[in-house]
Amino acid sequence: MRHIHTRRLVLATAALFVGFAWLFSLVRSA
Amino acid sequence: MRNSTGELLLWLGAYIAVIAVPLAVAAAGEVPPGRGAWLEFAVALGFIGFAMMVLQFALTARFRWVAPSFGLDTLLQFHREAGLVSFVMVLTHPLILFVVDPEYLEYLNPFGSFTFFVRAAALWAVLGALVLLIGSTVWRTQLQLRYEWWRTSHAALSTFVVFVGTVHMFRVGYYMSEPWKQAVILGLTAFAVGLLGYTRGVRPLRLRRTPYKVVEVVPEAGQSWTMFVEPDGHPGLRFEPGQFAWVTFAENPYSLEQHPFSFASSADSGRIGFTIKALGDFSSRAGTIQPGTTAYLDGPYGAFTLDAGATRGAVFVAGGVGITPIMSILRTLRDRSDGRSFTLVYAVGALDTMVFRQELEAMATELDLRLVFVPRKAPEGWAGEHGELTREMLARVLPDDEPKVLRYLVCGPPGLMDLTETFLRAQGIPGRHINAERFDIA
Repeated sequence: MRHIHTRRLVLATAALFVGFAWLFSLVRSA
Repeated sequence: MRNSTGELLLWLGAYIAVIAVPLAVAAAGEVPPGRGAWLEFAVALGFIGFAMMVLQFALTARFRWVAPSFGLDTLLQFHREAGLVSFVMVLTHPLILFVVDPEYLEYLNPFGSFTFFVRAAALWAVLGALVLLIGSTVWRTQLQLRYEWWRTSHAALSTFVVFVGTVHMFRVGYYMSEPWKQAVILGLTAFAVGLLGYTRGVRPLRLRRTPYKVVEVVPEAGQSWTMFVEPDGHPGLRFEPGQFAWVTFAENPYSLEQHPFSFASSADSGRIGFTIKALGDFSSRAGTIQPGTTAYLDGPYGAFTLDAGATRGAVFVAGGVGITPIMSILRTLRDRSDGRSFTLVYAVGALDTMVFRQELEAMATELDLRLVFVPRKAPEGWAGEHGELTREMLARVLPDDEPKVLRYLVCGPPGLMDLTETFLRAQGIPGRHINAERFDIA
């Protein structure tokens, strides 16, 4: 793992987590 | 050697799974009616931000069985950036709520009743703690915060934030009505606090059994010193050349002044040497440490080592004090009379203040080692490379005989590392053959 990829990795996981939140909201407000 | 993509994906999967736990818990079992898409989205961000903060404690727990897969520097970098992301998530959580339903602003109003007061005080305090936590970390050097103060406040503030987060979830209670749900959240909180207790409490206690003594402090060129330590009443640790340890120079292993230093000595030598350049508040005082001082070594850590696949040799690119782990590797290779070919590109401020020049020149006669010193300012009569390291320069000096089978180890300031890595990738060098380590991790 090279250091220049850390930021991309964190941003990708963050995007995934926002996706989780959206999914949760979708399920809960359906 | 940094491990396989498979192992990395496994850890990443575990990280993602744990962060999804509070959300999964909220959505499982008996659930109250939904309250609108934006509101539930905001709630979900709060749960995720909380779980990310819990896992921040795991990222810095220095587990030796996790770190080798990435290198501790990568883990700490991830910790920094994930910290910022969790901060944004936790802040977005109330902001969306305030927009969706301004009645939520009442949470920040301390007047009305004692409960209101406590609730508003806790929320304002946690906001303050978060701002301090992030601000003191991002601008630590600008604020001239002493490392040990930062480290203490960082632990205290983050524990407070996780504590208030837990209480907040329980008090709101919308998704936490069932005892098993509360137990899972409490488990996460206990996990975070337990990890902190382990790193700051149990680990120093264990270190107390293996003290070291400073036996010699050798001044080096360019405001650097090499501290030699020897184990005091125990066999001492074994390290791979290129690794580092967190070192405390104090009688008390609980001393908060603990800094990561690369081993500079050969892995085959009885005494361990650390070369420290006067850069930060501690390293500037390094020269005042007297022989006889007790030292505690928490390590070894790091994955900046020459892997077994380096059958044809390796290229080292060092900038400034980034030379120390490479020095350990070269000294070990020399002690083992290694026959492979090596190239060292070493970018320095000036030739007369660079560390290890004479020893490197001597090593070049014992090892198959080609030295390329790159001083920023060339002294008179210097015919070699000089100035800032550039791609063109790397193209000129790096070996062109089967470069793709060689291993590349890069350690130096971020600019040099980015340049070198980008250059090597552009040359078609496989990423797994490039090993880079930041030295400014703490």
